[in-house]
Formats: sequence, structure tokens, C-alpha cells
Amino acid sequence: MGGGSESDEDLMARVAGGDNRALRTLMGRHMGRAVRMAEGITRNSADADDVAQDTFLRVWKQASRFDPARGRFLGWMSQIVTNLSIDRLRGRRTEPLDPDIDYADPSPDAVVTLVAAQERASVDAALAALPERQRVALVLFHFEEMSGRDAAAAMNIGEKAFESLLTRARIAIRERVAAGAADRRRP
Amino acid sequence: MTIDEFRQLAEAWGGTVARWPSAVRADAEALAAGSPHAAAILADADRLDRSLAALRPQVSADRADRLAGRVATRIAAEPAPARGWLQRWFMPATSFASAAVIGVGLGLALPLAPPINGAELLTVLVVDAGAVTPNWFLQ
Repeated sequence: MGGGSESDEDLMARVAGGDNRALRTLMGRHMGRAVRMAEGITRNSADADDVAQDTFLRVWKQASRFDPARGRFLGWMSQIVTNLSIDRLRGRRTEPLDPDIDYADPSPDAVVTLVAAQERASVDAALAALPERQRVALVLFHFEEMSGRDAAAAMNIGEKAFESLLTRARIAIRERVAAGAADRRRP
Repeated sequence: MTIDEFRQLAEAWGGTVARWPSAVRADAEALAAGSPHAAAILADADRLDRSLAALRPQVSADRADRLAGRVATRIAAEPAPARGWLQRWFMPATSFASAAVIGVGLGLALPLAPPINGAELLTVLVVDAGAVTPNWFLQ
């Protein structure tokens, strides 16, 4: 039974009853998203793999705590990924950029100019340098394309507080990218 | 909506008005349609949106499947946790019921203490008062 037409919330009811096939179906649907979200926050693919696995282990162990009346599975899962990713960041002294992260190619014709590559590296460095909560806000809104309301719920904050985090994050990135561009122009 | 309010919203939510909070969307769309300045603000915000989108990590299906397999292996190696409401409530409910049965049983089985007379009551009060420190309420 693949559970193809079942909602995530129905599958969670089965997971709460100990049905590991239902968990397998949920992982098939959302493991990729969990990894991507964790990698966006931690900026490290090995950490992201660990966070994504721990997320679904927690889904399995704490399935009975999931209450569909309080929100959808995806929001609950996003909250777990976010919390575990932040825990992981706090356990690290430094946050090295992972050179192995495979980014989407932004250019439709696959021709990446030097300037574009520099700008992307600059935005990447700025993203990595953000305070963790600002980075989480950007990841949920821009990488995961969650609505402001859902992303705020995943971070357990109000929409206004989420808007404030997004604003500060975007301004910080702009300023850092502009400073980097100014440095590159200097002889 | 003023152009400054519009700029602040674009700085937070980016260059796609459809992703802005629903309460401000209609006003923002009207302003963007009628103001070249607002349109330029949106274009600038959209540029940053696209730079961020380019950094979105790509996760292959193989990688996701591999991780799902590892989770399944770890779950198979662990004892199954208690499941469902019946199992979650069974232990506390049986503990409470057992305590109630024992309490009622003892209450019915043990003889009642004889009524205490005045002299004994006074002794008890004096001894108990002596055992209590003056600042007992601060402890």
C-alpha cells in the first residue's frame, strides 16, 4: 500500500499507530525537502543529512504528539527541521561554507559569467554570515517558498516578528554584497 | 499606501507582491501598477530574490532515498515506542486505579483510632508547635 492518495495527516495517524510503511511514504514525499531546508540553514551537507534523519526519527517517536487540528504535517516537520538545524549550528564553533553544496544554476542558458559567479559567491557568503534566525527566515521564505504565516509558525513566532527578521536579513545581505563589490573594485 | 511603506514591504517580502501579506496586497498592486518608482523598487527586490533562489540547495532523489533507508534501518534496530492513546494512558490509569483500590481497602480494613481526649490534644499541640521554627513559612 503506497499511500499515494492519502494526506500527510492521514499517514501521520497511521505512523502514530506504529505503521512504518506510512512513515516510509512520508519520507518519500518530504525527505528531500527536509534535507534542503536543513542544508540551507546549516550550510553543510553532512549536517543536513544528520538533521533530516533525526527529523524523521523524531516524527516516528513523537507521532502521537502530532495534532492535525493545530496545523499541517509540513509545518510540524518544518518546525522540527528548524529546531534541529539551529541546535546543530549552536554545537559548531564556526560555520564553514561547504564547497560541495550543489546549487541550482540560475542562468537559463547555463552560461555563468565570472561576474554572476562572483555575485552568487558574495550572496552565499553573506547568507552564511547571517545570524541563525535571520537565515532560517530566509530559507523558509525563499528556499522553501512558505507563506509568511506558515514560516512564522514554523519558527514559533508572530508574523510581524518574522517580517522583521526577513527585513534585517535582506538588508544585511545587500550591505555585505555591496561592500564586497566595492572591495573588488579597489585597485 | 505611501511609497516608503511600499519600499519597506518590498524589503521584507521581496519583489513578488503576490507573496506579500494579503492585507496589503491590493494596495501594493495598485501602487506598483501606477508608479514607475514602485515598479523600480519591485525590480530591485526581485533581483535579490533571484540571487537567493540561485543558492537553493539541490537534493537528488538518490540522496533522499538513501537517507530514508538509513532511518528505516535505525527504526528497525530500536525497540518500538509506546503507541496510540490506549498505550499512552494505560500505565497512568492503571497506577491511579491501583492506588485508589489500596487506599479504599486500607481505609475499610484498618480500625478507627479512638477519640482523643483534651489532655492528649494539648500535648500534641505543644509538641508540634515546638517542632516548628518561627520562620517556617520562609523555608
